[in-house]
Amino acid sequence: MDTFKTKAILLCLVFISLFSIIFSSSVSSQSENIETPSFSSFDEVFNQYLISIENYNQAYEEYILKRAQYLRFKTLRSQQDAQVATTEMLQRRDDVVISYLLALRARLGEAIAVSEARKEGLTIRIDEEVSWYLTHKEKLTSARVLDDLVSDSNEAKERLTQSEGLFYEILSTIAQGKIVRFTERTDEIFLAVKNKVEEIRADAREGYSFSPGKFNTLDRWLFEAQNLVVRSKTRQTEADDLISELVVRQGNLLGDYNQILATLGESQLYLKETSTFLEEVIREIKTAEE
Amino acid sequence: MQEAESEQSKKTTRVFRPFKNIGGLSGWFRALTGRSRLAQKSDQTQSSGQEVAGQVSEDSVTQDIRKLSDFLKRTSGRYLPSRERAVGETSGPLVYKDRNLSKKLIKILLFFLFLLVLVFVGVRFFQLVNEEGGTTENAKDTKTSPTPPAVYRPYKPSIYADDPEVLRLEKDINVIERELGRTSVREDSLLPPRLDFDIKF
Repeated sequence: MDTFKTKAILLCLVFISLFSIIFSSSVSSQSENIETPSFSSFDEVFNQYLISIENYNQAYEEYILKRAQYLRFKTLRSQQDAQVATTEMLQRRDDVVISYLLALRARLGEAIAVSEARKEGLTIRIDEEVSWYLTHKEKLTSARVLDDLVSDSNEAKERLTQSEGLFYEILSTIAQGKIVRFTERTDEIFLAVKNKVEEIRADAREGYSFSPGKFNTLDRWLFEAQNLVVRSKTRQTEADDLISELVVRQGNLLGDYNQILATLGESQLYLKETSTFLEEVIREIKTAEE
Repeated sequence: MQEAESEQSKKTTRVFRPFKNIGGLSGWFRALTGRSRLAQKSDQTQSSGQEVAGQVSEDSVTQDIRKLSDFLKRTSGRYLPSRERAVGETSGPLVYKDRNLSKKLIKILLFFLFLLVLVFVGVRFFQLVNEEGGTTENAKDTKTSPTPPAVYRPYKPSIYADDPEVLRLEKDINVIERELGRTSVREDSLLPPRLDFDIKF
């Protein structure tokens, strides 16, 4: 009886400790995270991004006006107005970057054929950037003179130069995921068609098999389809290398992104040709010999 | 008695004659065509000529017709070839002489040109018809060989036409082909925003 009680107590303690460990880890992870949903609906986040752009445009127009007035009159009042307008504009600008990063995060959450590890890695980097811009935004209110605001703006400019690589990397990863999924499906269909042709070839019943000439035609088309799939995968590998270079490169990243898209587009075309050949194989199987 | 007889004869011999004053039916016709009685009766004797001249009375219709013919003669005289007699001839048929020889020559040339074009088109058409008939002699001379006509092969289903696996594969291929054609890898709505980072005072 005593041993039974002891065992029961030990078992309860084990369960409680396990439960506490699990619960504490989830609590701590929540406290470290920024107050953002993990993968919100993309449409909602994208709408927020569009609203932030609109707010920024309004603040920017006000900034331009106040700046022009200050540069013209150089009064204390105009300087104060310019400072307020500039602060407002810089804050709205940071909001735009933050909402854009969150939109990318949401879109990445919905991306297909992207591994969870890669998603996680990119999400962590997005969170870092968001954290920085939030801190920068809070810092803007402490600026006393216009020069402080100018230096704060230049900080953000430098940070954006580093962040830009992340933007295009995420966009390229999303595009690559689409092609990877198409490749997987094409591979499945190709294998199924090939197996069907082998099944027909092995069928010894009269009227269920085809002539050697017809099988030659089918084999030739399957061979062509296979070559096209290989070419498509080669293009995907090239695109993958270009995406890896995006992280370290600086400068005309838009041009690099366009090049990645062009390479992925070629891969997509090869897959389309593959499906055309497979379609011909099926048509040939469905058509009787003369 | 004699007076009564004359009156009776007048009564009995009274006949309706509408064209009496203009020389009867023939006189009426002549009046319509514009030919006076005096001009018509050239072979009549002079004794009756005065009577004819006295009897001719042109009505308004004849006058109108004559005026019209005069007008037409005056206006058409400019365009119609003039009628001239050949030199030395006093009688015989009138010979037409063209006013504008060059216009006539141009017309003749254009007519021959049109004939040539027609002949050329006809010959070419004839040649084409002969070529389609199957002669290959001309085909050897051309640089490119003609495309053979496509032979129509009616669809004859094989034993696998209704195979469920084959149909499923066909459907999957059609779906992926359509998706590959429609899907774009670009995300234009998510390109980085354009912001002004050049702040100066």
